[in-house]
Amino acid sequence: MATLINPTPLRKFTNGNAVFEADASNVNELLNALSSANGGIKKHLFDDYGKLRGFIRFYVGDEDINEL
Amino acid sequence: MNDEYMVGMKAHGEDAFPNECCGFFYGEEKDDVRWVTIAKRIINVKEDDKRRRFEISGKNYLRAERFATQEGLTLLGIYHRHPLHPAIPSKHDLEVAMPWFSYIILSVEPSGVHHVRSWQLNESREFEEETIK
Repeated sequence: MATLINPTPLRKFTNGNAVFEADASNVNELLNALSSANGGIKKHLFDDYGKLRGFIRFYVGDEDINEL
Repeated sequence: MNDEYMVGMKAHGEDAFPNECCGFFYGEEKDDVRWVTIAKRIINVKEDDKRRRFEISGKNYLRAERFATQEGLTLLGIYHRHPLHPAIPSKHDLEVAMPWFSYIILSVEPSGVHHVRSWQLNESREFEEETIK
């Protein structure tokens, strides 16, 4: 089970919940699960070409994992 | 918005001139009204073209979220300024905007802050203006 702490601007799509949990083995699966479970969030995560928006960052604890 | 924080944002905008500056503001939302109780300056980490762009580091964003959680506040949005330009979101502002956040823009001239306006993304990812009181 993977746990995602949602940033404040995305909580409007998760009924105000800060925590989202899903069975996912990597970030892509977690994002897909988040998008499927919360309609409307996808267009804010991905651009018109399906690419993750450049300003979105992922942290595990204090470590930025976008470069991994 | 508490006058104290509006004054602080304006002072930040004037101090940084002619570069862009930015900061977070916190408070609470009740019945579609947002009450700003704290505004904090952050460093514009944009490496080039600081006069036209601002950039917030991921670490600073993470700290802002944690600060809000620790203080029992809501991270309401981001303020930044447009030196020598109107307080209207640019194309770049739109590209990097997040839903729900309020984006306060200060238009700054050499003589000081001229206009302060606030914007929020709608469901079509277009900016709509919010009223500031």
